[in-house]
Amino acid sequence: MSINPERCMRHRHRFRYRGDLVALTELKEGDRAFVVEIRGDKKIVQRLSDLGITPNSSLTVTRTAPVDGPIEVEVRGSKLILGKDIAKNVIVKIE
Amino acid sequence: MSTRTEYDEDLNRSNITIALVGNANVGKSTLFNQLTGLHQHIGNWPGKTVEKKEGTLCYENYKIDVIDLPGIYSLSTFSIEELIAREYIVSNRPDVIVNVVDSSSLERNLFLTLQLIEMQVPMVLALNMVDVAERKGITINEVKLSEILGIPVIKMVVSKGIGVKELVDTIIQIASKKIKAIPNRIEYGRDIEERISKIIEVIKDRELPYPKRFVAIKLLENDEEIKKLVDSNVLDVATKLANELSEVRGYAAPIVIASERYATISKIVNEVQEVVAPQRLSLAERLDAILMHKYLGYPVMVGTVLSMFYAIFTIGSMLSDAIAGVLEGIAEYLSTMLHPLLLEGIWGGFVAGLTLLLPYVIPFYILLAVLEDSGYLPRIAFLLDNIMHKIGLHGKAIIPILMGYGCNVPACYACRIMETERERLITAFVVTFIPCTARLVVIYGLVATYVGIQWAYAFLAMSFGIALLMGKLAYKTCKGESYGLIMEMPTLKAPSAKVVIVETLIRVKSIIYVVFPVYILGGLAIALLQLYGVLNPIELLFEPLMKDWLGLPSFTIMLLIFGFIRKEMVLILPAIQFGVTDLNIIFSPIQMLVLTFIAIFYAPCAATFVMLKREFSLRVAIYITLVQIGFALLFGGILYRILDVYL
Repeated sequence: MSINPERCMRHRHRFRYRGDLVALTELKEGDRAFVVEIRGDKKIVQRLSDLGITPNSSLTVTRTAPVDGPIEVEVRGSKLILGKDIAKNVIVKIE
Repeated sequence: MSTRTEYDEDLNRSNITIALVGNANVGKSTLFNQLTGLHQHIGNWPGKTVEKKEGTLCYENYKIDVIDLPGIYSLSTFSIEELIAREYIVSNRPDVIVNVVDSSSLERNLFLTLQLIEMQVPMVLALNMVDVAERKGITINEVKLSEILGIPVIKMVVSKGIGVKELVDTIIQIASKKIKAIPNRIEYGRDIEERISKIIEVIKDRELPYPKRFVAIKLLENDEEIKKLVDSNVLDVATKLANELSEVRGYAAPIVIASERYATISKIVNEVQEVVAPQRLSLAERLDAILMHKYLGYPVMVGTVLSMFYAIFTIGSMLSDAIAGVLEGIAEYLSTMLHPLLLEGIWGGFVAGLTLLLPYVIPFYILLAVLEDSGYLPRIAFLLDNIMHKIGLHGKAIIPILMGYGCNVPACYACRIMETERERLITAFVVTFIPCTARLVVIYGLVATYVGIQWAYAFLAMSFGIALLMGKLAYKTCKGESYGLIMEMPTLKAPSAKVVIVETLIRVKSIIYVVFPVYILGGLAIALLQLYGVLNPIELLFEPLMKDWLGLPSFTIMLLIFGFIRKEMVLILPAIQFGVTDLNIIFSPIQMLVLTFIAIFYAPCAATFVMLKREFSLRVAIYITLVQIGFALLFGGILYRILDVYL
């Protein structure tokens, strides 16, 4: 990955490297990542894993909405929408 | 119910009971409608606000009872729907379970299938939407899948009727034990299988409603309901094993099991599914790029909704005029036989239903069903999730709220899509502040016609803002659970005419059963009150409130009383009572604005009240009504004072 210093300065708070652990909400459209951990309410964790967001599953962010909106991810061949409050509890490793 | 007796008399037929199980949006309801046609009964599961759909199909020498179980993603305990489904399967033992799956996302769909397999019931896999899968470049080898799972697998495109006959034939063969449909055992990893065996060893002599293997796995998953079925010895063993498992794998046991299920599914899917990604983006994907676009999505959404309203009012007023013309003739004939007040009450209520509700509400619900079936509504939910979040709800709530613009009654019913009791209640509260067709008629007839169209738009925008504000207030005061948005995004598709018609009919049905009786009986009650002169003292009693606080003529209290039955009476009644067509003579512009404001908010109409009582409780219905009356009177008075200064 080549680093463009100007871009780096402008986006320094969002600039991430491969292998970084971040919340799902930090990802941008088109980013791929592995799920590392799901935090939060037991029921929500169960629901997410029922829908295929389990540890080590791979997902792609297909769309984000502006201003704290939800994000759309593709996981196991289907698309899911997760609200910001839920997505911030999904910890992923950038691929 | 006449169809049922007709069937019961036919004793030569053999009875088969089947249950449809599957995720949401897999075409389960479409299949249900195809199988049962008009022979269906929609009610509630006992004691729950979850819809229960039953129907009957007569085919050759068989009478097949079909139960459409609620759409679920798992057999855990996340929602009441999941509990209902699994309890139904064990306690009613349907002859065949039809597991409907979406071929275009086989992996996620098989998650439920694997759990159904653990219940060891005869089942058939309906591999629906193979056309959508093909467009995504997905082909599934159904023979191989059938071998692996040990159950018949049938490729279907239910919306086009493809595969339905084959499915029914297979069901009959399964029920008459001509083919084997008890699924194979699907093995998990060794560490898990060992622990499952250990639990089975402990429970093997116990009487349990579920198969032992199912119970063992659910105990490892820490399932609260299943834990209630076993004694503390078993629980101790299970808890110990679950803890071991979570230590070995590094995650909580329920997550380990879910991961393991998906790992097993991945293996199966790799064997039976081939994916050749299409070269070009599909039309659906290109449309999505616009419809769900970060910025572009919003103007497109507003444009779509506004043009929908425009279309409805254009079509509606044409239909309404046509129907009114026909009914006027009948009214003249009736007037020779009925007392004028009774005519006004009963016949008036009936006419209002026909000329107001049906011409506007039916086109509205047809268009809404088109948006829904095409998959656009979930996209609106995506775009508006952050706004809904501000009031403690999430994107899905926009669906009942939009429905509220047609009629609040089915909209209150639609609040069932919300996951928790609290979210359902807040959404219903917000819905009652949304001006329905009857109130839109008042806004149009009083404000747009006499004060100015810009005021009508202001009222519309304001009502949406107030609905959200009140939602926020309810969120602060109402306790309970709230989850965020977790929603599946279905692929955009061309809406199916059949689905649209059935959906519309179901919604209109609740209007006919709830709104029409209220219109007619309420109209009659008020006509009787008028006849015995009870209304004049009321007028005097409320005069200070109406005149001094709200600045309205004292007779307007009558409009509000009538308006509780039918909100559009607020507009129609003055014209009738004073025999004028120009309402400028009766009201000043300020009075019209204040009256409209109050008419929009002062209480849910009687039919909505009935629906709220049915969906929640009498207490909730009364509470919402009181809050609205208080709100409308307080702010109506304030509005009057503000307008008095500025206009």
